Amino acid sequence: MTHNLFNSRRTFKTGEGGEGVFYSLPQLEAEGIGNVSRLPISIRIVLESVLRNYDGGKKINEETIKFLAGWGAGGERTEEIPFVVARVILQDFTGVPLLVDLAAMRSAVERMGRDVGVIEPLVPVDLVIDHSVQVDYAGSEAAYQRNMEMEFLRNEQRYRFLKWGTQAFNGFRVVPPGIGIVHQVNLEYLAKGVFERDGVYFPDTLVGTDSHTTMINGLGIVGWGVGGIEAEAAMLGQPVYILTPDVVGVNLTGELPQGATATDLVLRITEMLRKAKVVGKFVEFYGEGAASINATDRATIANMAPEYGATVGFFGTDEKTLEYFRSTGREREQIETIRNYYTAQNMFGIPKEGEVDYSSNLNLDLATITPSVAGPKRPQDRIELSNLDDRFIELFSQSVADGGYGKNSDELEKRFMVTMGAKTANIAAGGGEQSPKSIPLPMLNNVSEKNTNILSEVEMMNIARLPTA
Amino acid sequence: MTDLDEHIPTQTTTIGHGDVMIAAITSCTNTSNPAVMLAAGIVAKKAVEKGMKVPAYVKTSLAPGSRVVTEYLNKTGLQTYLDEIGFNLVGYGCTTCIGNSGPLDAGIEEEIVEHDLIAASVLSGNRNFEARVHQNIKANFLMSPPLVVAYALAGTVLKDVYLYPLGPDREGNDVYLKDIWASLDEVKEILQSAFDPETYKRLYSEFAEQNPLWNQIPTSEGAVYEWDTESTYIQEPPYFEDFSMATGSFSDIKGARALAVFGDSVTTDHISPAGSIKPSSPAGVYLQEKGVTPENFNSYGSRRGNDRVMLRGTFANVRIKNLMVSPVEGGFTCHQPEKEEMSIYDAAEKYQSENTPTVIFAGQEYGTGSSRDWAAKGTRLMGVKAVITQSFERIHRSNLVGMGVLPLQFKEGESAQSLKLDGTETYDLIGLETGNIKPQQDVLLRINRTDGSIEETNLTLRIDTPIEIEYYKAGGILQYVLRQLLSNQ
Repeated sequence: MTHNLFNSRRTFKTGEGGEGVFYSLPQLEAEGIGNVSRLPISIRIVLESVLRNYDGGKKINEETIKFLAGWGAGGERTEEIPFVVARVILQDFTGVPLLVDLAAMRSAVERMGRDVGVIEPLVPVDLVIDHSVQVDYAGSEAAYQRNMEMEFLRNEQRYRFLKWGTQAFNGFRVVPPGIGIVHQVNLEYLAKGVFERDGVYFPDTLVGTDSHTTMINGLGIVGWGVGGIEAEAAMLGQPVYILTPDVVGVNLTGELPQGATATDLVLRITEMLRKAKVVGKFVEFYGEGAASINATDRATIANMAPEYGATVGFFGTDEKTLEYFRSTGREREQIETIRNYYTAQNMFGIPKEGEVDYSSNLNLDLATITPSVAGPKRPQDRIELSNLDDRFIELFSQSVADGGYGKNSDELEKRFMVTMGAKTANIAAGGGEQSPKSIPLPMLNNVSEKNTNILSEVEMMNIARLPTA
Repeated sequence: MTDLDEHIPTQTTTIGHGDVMIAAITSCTNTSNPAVMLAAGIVAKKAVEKGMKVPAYVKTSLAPGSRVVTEYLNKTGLQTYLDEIGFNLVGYGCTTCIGNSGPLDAGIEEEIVEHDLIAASVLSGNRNFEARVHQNIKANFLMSPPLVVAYALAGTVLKDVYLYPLGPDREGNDVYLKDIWASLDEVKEILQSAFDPETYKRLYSEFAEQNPLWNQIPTSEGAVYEWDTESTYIQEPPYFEDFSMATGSFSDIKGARALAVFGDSVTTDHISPAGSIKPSSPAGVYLQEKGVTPENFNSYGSRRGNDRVMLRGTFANVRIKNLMVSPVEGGFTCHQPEKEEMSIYDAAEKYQSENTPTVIFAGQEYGTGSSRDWAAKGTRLMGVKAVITQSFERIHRSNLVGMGVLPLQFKEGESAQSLKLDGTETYDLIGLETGNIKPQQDVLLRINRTDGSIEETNLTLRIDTPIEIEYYKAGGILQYVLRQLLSNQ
């Protein structure tokens, strides 16, 4: 519904040169609603959504807006915030049941003799098919083509259904297999920075049915992974509810030294933030170091938010963000719209130290980053590269109860003869299978009886055994 | 399709603990970052130029998150070097990062299992929980793509790569990590090659037409899907079978039975497993009845579009521990009052046919783990009316409400154990009858024990917001939205 609560409905100059309507956060502050300019940028983006989607109290009332505008760095967190997102992204494993439910709703409406067209996604939905390809073949030139052929044989029933979905709904787009991973496709193609609907401009925000949806926060876009049911609600225009978060500010300083990569940096951040207990909180990176690294490094850091436990690991929109949009082929007008929009909202640029009030502050000097790995069982267990061999030897003989492998240390050096290529390989469950043709012939008689859950059974058991949250 | 059983030449080698069996440049975490991808290419180039080789037992793969990566690795000529040492393109997708690493050589896998080798994988992914990457690889190390290449060359994690050579060059001289490492300047020099706007525009326009295999898939058309009742992947779920426009209400639950009594940290993966389907499990039996042979079962994850499979998979995780049948592990329970042991699915069906409501008891952190819609949907379809725990994970709690199942929480200090619940009791949930249900209000749990004694205690209703009350009354969020859309029309 169109509203002008707190006189916040304003205009700005779009990239095309015309006038665009937006709901102004600085205006909220001018009206005395809250100290908005001191709020973390990620909170302001959620606040914009709450303000714009004010509906007179059915789902969002004035109190919710005032409450969030008055977000205090140290407040008690009991209120749930209704967050209406700009769009939804799905991967194929979790996206299929969503489309099944939409299709079932249509069937139900048809049985009632009503207009089935009433069932439509109310926000744009993009489903990227990325979870079904398996590495059946590797290390050869033909591997890519063969793996894809196997994937299609295995998944034809599901793919046929997904293809139906693309023509049945207006707002449901499918990126076919073989194009990429949803989060990378999101960065390189789907992300818009700023959305426009009916002349009103607003920040790109999303939820996705995959935990690493958080990656997009590297581009100043607030979004995180939710369950299928919440994604379904979001798709149908319902708010996603989130407990008002604490926002942990991480002040990055300095520069990455020679030999260190963005991967080393994110492993260090994961270790650091796990210890800082950021579960259920927003993390926002700020300071000169954050402003100096480019958007792809930010995306790598934002990607691993589930591993450090945060709801999001956010970087605000700045020149580096626009540079990424430009170099990945986004239109000039769109990029100017993003700049003008965020400038009008007083949100352009990564905050400097002291500009924003966070619930707590952490510091990380990028110059201290060293080449590292993480493991062998948990992403937060960082190991200096020079210690990897020692750590493995230590865990080798450590008891299972203490997280080791419980072996005799004198076994460590033993080697075993093996003849490769003589036997046919075991097939593994995973992406999919339908036609007997889809199993490489020599594998048929040698099915693994192991019932280990490949995706995540043990992952969960590890979490259960070693509480880190 | 291509010849799948081509002859692979045999070769003999030795393997041991700490050997790198999988080296995978994978996952959006890193493949979206040209700086580290180009660094991997530079390391590969230097290694190839020195004539270094990757040991035969290392399964190498490169699975970028988009075709842009291939474009710039080709343009810079680095893909050739990656190919040379086995990092050929295997596909554009999640692959190893989500466990789709595919098979190891069967000989290697046998040795690993027989000698219980602690084999290693090195990958540029974001998760490495045991058996996630591959079921027989126990030590999994996350690292940058250039380090993945380095450890593939080393073939082992039992080496300090700063002090010891990764391997020999073609003359047999030692090559150290520093000899082939990509400096920041080397990467910067070619970084711009990864950012050509025209490449992105071209690769992301009309991509639907670029995949002939996708185009060949036959589609059905029309606004309403023609459900194929024979499909074992896609079925119409029963959520709207008795859908009506009338809003429902709360009511007390009387004479309920415990479908299961769980301990702490029951995860969504325990509730709704995502991995392989056991032939003897209810879902396995069902699929076989439908003519699907075990090697074609596929995973639960890929059958999420079929509620019949997913319902049968609910609480069917082989590691779940129901204290009612302890020490047996797996999806079993004891049907009451006959005390008959059976699968949780069979018991749920039996209780539903007897019109006996059921509840689940659990300890702390019920529903942790990755958010999984079927954990709540399956619970609903099993006829479970309430889940009573010491604490809930946030998303699973809200999903239960979204599917019309009541989440209830013990008061601080109380638990199924402290109340000595063993699943032989019947339970009443009282206080829901009033027309004025409030978020987080008290609900009375009355325990009727087999010896005739009755105990009562208060629980907290974990319906947390006013809108959740509406969802629950409607029978769930889907029903709520459907009703709204129809009444707006």
